[in-house]
Amino acid sequence: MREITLVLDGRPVTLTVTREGEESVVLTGGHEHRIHLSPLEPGVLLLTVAGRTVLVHVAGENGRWALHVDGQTLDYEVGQEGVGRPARTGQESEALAAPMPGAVTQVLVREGDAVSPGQPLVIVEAMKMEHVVRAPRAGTIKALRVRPGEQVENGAIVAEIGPPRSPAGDEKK
Amino acid sequence: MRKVLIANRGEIAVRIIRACREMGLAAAAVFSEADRDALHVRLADEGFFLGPDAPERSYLDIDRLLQVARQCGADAVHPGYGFLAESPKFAAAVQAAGLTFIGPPAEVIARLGNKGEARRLAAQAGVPVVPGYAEPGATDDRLAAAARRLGFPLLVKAAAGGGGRGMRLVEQEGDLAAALAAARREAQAAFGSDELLLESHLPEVRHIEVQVLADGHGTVLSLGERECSIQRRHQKIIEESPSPFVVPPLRTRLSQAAVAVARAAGYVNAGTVEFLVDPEGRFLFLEVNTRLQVEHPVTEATTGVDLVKAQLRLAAGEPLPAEPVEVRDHAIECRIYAEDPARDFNPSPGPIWMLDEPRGPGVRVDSGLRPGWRVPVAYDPLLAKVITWDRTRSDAIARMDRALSRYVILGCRTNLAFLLEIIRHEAFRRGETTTRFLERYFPGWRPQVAGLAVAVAAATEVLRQERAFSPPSLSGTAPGLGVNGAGATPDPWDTIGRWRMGMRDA
Repeated sequence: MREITLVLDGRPVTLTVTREGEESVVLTGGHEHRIHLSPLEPGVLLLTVAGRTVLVHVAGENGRWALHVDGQTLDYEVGQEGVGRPARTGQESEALAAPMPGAVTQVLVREGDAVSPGQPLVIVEAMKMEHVVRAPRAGTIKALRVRPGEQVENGAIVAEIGPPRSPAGDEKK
Repeated sequence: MRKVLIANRGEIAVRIIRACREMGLAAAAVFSEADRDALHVRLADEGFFLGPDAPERSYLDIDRLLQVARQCGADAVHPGYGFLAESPKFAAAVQAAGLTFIGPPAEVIARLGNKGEARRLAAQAGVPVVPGYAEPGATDDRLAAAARRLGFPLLVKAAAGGGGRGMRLVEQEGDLAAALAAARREAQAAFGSDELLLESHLPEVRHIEVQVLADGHGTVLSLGERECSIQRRHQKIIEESPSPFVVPPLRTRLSQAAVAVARAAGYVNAGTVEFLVDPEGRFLFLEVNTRLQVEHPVTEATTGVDLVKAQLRLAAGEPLPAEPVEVRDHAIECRIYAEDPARDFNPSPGPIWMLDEPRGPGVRVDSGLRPGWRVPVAYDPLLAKVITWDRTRSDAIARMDRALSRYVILGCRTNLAFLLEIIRHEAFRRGETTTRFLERYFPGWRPQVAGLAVAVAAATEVLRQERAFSPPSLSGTAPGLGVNGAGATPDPWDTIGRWRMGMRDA
């Protein structure tokens, strides 16, 4: 029996795979899938499940994978929890990630600025679309990680937002 | 005409190359740094480097494009869609350089490219227009005053715009100022003009357009309508012809209105007249697209007319046949985008690890994809289009279901699963296609992750760890890789087995 952890959209899912003769028995969340896989060529396997045979395509690199079966494409990572997830550092401060890979066209705030919920902070442009990274809540800009013109990857941290300043205006260190 | 420079990229460049080849014309491709290895460059007779990824320094650089045209001895330029396709400046520069522009004359593009002017022209031709406000050079104050008169919701649009850019839906007055600012910024960046206009946002309408061909010798033909109502962010994702909503009397009136607008504009070449149609069958003129449309293949499937070849012939001055074009059968197109429908349709450029495209009777795939390629960040996320046709709409949908189900694109997230769910939806099958379709039936859509797919992923991972299965090799790109191949494969000489010249399956 082997335990495999797949990360689906940042969410880890652990499955157990047991070999029973030619078949693999995969347990996930109480469901049992009895499947037979025979590799055909690199990246292509023949799947037999409940008497039905369909093609499976699998490819990937650097721990990131994608699989196609039954008209569905599954993107996943193999490995530890939290792979590829934007860093979360609790209530105190929050990292804001670029929603897509692209170029930073505008940075609308400066470090130390007080921001209100929904306020536009950074504008990222990709594939002719502009996307605004907004403040998720009231707070202070703790750090800006990007400059206009810079290329960012999907999930790259563009800014960090800290707690709002106290009414007296003195900044917590 | 002997050699055509294709001032575009991706699937449309591939499409135009094919038409050139079939007409015995040489096709010259252009490419940016990011597209060095793109499919259109590989398929063209020759390719020319333009410049860096940024469109302004490559596909939008008029001087550079004309320089390449001279260098390669092209005598015609096809602009495709997007980029410079509707730039009167580009059309004029091509003409001034003594080359043939595959499209309408520059002055016609200029007249119709300004949405305000196009509205006035249609109204003069007796065609009803969408209520709105369009004055050249309107300031924010004047737009705000007009918005109060028109009422909300309304659409802010770039006068020089298209493709949803520079467009904002404004639900209430309080949001207007921000929408105007954002639309102006986007319009300036995309079209070099921040002129805006306002149009009432009509609920529950259909977006229906009519394809026309005009030869400049007095013949203007309608090639029937396309239903383009299924849109996300004001961009079409599924189109079909004929429209499931349009019945013969309305079809005739739409065609007549489209031909009237084209005549009034002095139109030449292929063009599209767009309308909004309400549930009672009343229609309002929206705009004219003075280019080949993304969705042109559905019309090709229902009329048998190759629109790109028609464009080339019309640009060479050939007259159209006088007899009307007959529309038959039913065709549907789904646009495959590098975008994540579950995340607000955000673009998702990435690598193409593996590719297997559908084929078969009544299935056409216009694609710019190639295994081993990387979808660049810098351009439109449209990757490919799947077009299916058959005798009836439901048969065409069944073909689309089969085609999308077996379209394998791994590495780059696409909207394939989303498209499949749409065409399987009861409301779509009923033909209930309005511009509100997605917000009504697919709000906050998330893909259903099938337990089986996850189980197969885990079992495959075990096989891989045991070295009983290997993924395709992704180190570089194997030469001679087929467009429809299932990804990078090992050297064919290693796997071919017993083999004799001229024999199959020896």
